[in-house]
Amino acid sequence: MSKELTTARIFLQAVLPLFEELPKGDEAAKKAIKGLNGVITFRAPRGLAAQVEMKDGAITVTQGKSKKSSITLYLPTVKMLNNLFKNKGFALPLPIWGIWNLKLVNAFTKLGERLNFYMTPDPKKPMSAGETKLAATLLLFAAILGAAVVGQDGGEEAASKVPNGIAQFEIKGEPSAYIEKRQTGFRAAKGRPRDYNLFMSFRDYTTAYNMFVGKLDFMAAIPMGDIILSGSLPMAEQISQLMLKVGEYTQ
Amino acid sequence: MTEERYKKSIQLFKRAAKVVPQGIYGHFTPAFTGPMSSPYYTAKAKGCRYWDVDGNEYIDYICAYGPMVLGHNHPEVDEAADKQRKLANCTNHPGEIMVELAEHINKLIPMAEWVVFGKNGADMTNNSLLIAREHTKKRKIIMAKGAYHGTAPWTGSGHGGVLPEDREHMLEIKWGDLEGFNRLAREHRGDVAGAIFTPYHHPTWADQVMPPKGFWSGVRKTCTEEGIVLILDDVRAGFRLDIKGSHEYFGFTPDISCYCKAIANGYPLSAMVGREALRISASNCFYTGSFWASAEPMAASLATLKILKRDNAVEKMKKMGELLKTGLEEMAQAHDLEISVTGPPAIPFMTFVNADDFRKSQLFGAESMKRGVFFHPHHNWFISAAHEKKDIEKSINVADEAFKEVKRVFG
Repeated sequence: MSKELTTARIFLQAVLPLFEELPKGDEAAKKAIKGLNGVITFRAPRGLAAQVEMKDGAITVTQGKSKKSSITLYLPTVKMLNNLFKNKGFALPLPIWGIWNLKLVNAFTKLGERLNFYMTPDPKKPMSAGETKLAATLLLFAAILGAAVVGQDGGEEAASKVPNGIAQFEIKGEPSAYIEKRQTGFRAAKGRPRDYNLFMSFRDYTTAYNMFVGKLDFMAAIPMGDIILSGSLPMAEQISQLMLKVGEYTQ
Repeated sequence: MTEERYKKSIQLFKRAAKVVPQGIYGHFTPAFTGPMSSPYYTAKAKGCRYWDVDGNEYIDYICAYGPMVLGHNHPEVDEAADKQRKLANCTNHPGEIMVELAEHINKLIPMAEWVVFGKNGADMTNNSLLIAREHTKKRKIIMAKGAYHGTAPWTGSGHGGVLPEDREHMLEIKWGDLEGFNRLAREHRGDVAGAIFTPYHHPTWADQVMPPKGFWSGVRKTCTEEGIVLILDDVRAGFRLDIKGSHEYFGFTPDISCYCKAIANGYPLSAMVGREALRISASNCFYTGSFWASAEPMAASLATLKILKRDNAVEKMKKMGELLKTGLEEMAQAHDLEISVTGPPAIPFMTFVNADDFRKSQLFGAESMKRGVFFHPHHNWFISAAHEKKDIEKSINVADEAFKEVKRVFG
């Protein structure tokens, strides 16, 4: 698997699903999609496709192109898709279908700006409690969903070292996601698994946020009870390596 | 309840976390023993027992991760160390004790024809590679996947700050795979300086693996034929399986053997011994450190090695280990739990069968610690010569209660 393709898959399978969270916790995002209903389809070579549906003030992201599209954005190369997501501001190309639905595109562009706000915060402007809450949630999901893509593509040594099983990550009592490794490969999802082999729970949103932005002494946080860690420690060690790679691919 | 039991430990740790990265780092981290449900700091220790800063008492089955081979604060060892320290410890020169200890070790270990001293096991494993490369003028080193030889980048510990180039000349086989070893030796013929292995495989987070039949004799044969320096990392097992070194236990002769842990019953010392053919190459390498010639640990070591032999301590540790293994197996069976106790009796490790995620082990460890027995959930255990039958029996009784809890939670 080429680096470009893995990066593209991270954007579609780990970054795009973050848009679902934005209207739940960000007023500007909520406002941007108010009254808009429709489906934006992203397509690129090598079978890359995902859809963003805006409906009744909520966003649903699905992989593939099973829904009827209001507007289709085709990126002629994988690299162009990556550039789209890497470019600050999420400037979109002209659609090949549905040009009359530019309102959806504009809303998506606004959502992209809000995502940037949370994912690449200005260090000089501390986030409010509410902003930290959403940022921590987004970072948690991006790390878990992205790690599964990196693991599945198999180009990293850590992927082969991850023991089979399920690792659940949560911010105490609230957002949760899990990554599952089997002989068939990796998969990840938001939500709670039926069981786990590794469980990691952050005491609160600030702890989670600080960890994902590299401001937390992880190994000190565990014995203090700021992070609850139980089960397969080798799994935690190797998945954390995959998580670190997510950032390397998308920078 | 559990947090209350370790209240002072946790308070102390919170202070530490402000001034020390990780609070407690390395293999001592409580993140691996049971966060919030295991001791963090030691207050005092004696024999096979120790007390944490909260006043909780434990029968010790980790023995400082190996060094306490005669038990904590052994009076004869401490007396020898005290006597030397009062004369001289860290000065401009080594003491006479260095020569005495070197002579003693050369007599004790049949393959040893020279010895050098350091502080930690990694001092010796790192330098053993230098000697192998100096001796052969070759580059590659063969090691086993998942083996622990210290924290140096070449060991592949997988932690921060390591570059791919640091491991450029390292080749890996699955531990015990003689065919794989021979294949690598052939493929890289003319470029393999050394092979470094532990006497048996003792990885963290996994069962221990004894050498398959013919492994050591086969490795020895290939190393001799190919001109590869065979290095034994006996840091963890040395002086617990055989007073003359673990290679005697397994019946082979390495070219270099590295020791630490049990060599001085808790005083900081490591040693590397080698065969005559490597003496000049050993002399051509440069190794030293601020405290490497300190006399006190050498006095402690000489006393430790003499006591181990006098008291036939290796045999006692074996017997106590066998007693513990049998007791654990019987208790587990009584609770309809399937366990596996692997490794040599003096360095056992218990895991639950088909429980690779260690959740049962973590609960078992926490429940045992709560009742005064320190069974590590992830790392092999150590028996010392200070463990008596009554300690083993008490530990088995505690294990009975811990197994009951494991059964209740996991079914």
